[in-house]
Amino acid sequence: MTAVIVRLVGVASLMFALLAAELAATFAFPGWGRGGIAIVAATMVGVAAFGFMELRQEGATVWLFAAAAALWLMILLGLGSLDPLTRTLYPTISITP
Amino acid sequence: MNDAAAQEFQFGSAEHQRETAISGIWLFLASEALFFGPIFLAWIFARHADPTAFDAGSRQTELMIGLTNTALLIASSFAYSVGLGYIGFGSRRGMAIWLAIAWLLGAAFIGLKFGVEWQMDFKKGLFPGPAFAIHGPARNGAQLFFAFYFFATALHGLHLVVGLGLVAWIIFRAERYTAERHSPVHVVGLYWSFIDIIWLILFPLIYLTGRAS
Repeated sequence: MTAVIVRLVGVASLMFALLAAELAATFAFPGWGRGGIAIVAATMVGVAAFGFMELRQEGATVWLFAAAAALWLMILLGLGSLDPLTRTLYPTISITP
Repeated sequence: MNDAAAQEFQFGSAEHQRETAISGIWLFLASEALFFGPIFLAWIFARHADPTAFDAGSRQTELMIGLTNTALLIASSFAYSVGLGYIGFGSRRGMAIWLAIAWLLGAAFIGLKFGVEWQMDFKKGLFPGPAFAIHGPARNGAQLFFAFYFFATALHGLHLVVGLGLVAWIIFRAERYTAERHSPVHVVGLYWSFIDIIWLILFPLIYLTGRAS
């Protein structure tokens, strides 16, 4: 049991360290920008999935469902945001008589 | 306990039953990821419409409460995982104690979010509508932000309340679980950590990106 607790303390410590890094990316290192925050947040999600949910120990079916969720989200967010992030608004010409 | 007693009749073995339960909850969590996906997409759309005004709304949120709540959920996932570890070694008492700690931390999140933070937001006039407190050119974008904020946190809170009910259910049934047979404890733990993951995404969207330069 001690080994389990030591591993979980390590996972929790890493999560708190990443939370601190997220705050640092916001306030202390403005150069990191929003991209830095997104990378740290994605890492935290990965640590939770592998550390607390123990994804690594699961079988092929579980991996398939987890990968499907990530793929569906990438399609949803990727294709969904394609329009607002690429659309160019041109000023309309008003014709006055 | 022999293998025949450790499984329901439709499963070939106790391990088959465990794998089915774990696969089932992961499929459910995959559908939940898609359930929250459009909310994240809405954030992208709403922020893109007027980034300056949207970020002005974000800066009105209570960062310290959001930060405390993030720490509470991380600690809660940790506590639940320790409880799961205890039942893996056959200790029902250890499991019940750590799950109770996880429950209390989750309840503290709910109390802080809806009993304190939302009340402060209402008092500051940040609920979207005619009485919205932010005026000027940032008004519409800030209202969009707070529409996202209230909807997303309410939905996440609803999931957390369901999770609190499930954790309580596990604690009250603690006597039923053994080192060999505790799939429900594992399944609820996966749901509990998933709620944590959703918050880990919402936290930077609500509290940090608007404050980043």
